Amino acid sequence: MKPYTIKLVIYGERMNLAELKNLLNCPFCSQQPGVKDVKSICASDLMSEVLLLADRDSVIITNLVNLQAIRTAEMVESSCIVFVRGKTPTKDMVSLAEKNGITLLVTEYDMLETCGILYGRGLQHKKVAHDNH
Amino acid sequence: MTTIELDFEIKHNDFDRAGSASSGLKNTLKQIGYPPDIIKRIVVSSYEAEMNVVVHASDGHLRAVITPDEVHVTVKDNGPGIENVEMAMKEGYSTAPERIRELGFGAGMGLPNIKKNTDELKVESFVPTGTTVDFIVRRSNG
Repeated sequence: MKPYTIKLVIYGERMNLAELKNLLNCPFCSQQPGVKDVKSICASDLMSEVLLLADRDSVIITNLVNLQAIRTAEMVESSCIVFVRGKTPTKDMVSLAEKNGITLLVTEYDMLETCGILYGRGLQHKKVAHDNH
Repeated sequence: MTTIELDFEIKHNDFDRAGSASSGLKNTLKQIGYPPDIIKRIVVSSYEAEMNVVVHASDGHLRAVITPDEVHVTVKDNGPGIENVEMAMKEGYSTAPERIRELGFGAGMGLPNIKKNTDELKVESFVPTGTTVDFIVRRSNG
């Protein structure tokens, strides 16, 4: 399947990572200390798109379970990664995320369902603009 | 702050360490108090350049010269070089094999992403000797 990217932004109301974890029924959690507010979501399997579009303190939602997902989150200063379809991160990934203060969550929902739940919670879709060269 | 010079080795095909050079650069920039938004532009660019070496090239180096006003990054590899730099600068153009796409890269966004995040970008490539990606991010333009 061709990768696609969805960006969701929260306006007005606030949501923190603990609420996100409950909302997505996350069985796995490697939570970092401190209560972090969720400001925006970047859902993609393409790390170059995440590097381009994710805001600082954003949450990344992805199918991609490898060290590059953690490194990408580190570069954009993302506070959390949600791995969809129950894909559990490896020990190396958890340890690199901990070093960088990144919370890791796993949800059984797929990417579309996850974005749908967050959309239903009031996050707004922000159209992703691409320059045409 | 005086000038700080950093030099990191990049290993081709070493996906466990891929990103460690950009991570080292990021830590230094954070320690010396560079603004977070400028750091993001620098490390997104250096990470894309570093991944290009890991994915496409051979071993290489990431060198950074940090001054109070700007960060100058040079990522140099030892080949095989890019056949058509002009095409590589176009979004969506990629020569990456399927296994690279499975890692979340190889969508032809690397060099275009670097261009979007930097104030100056120069890409020089010779087949088969190698590629140099050279960019500057200025602090004042953040």
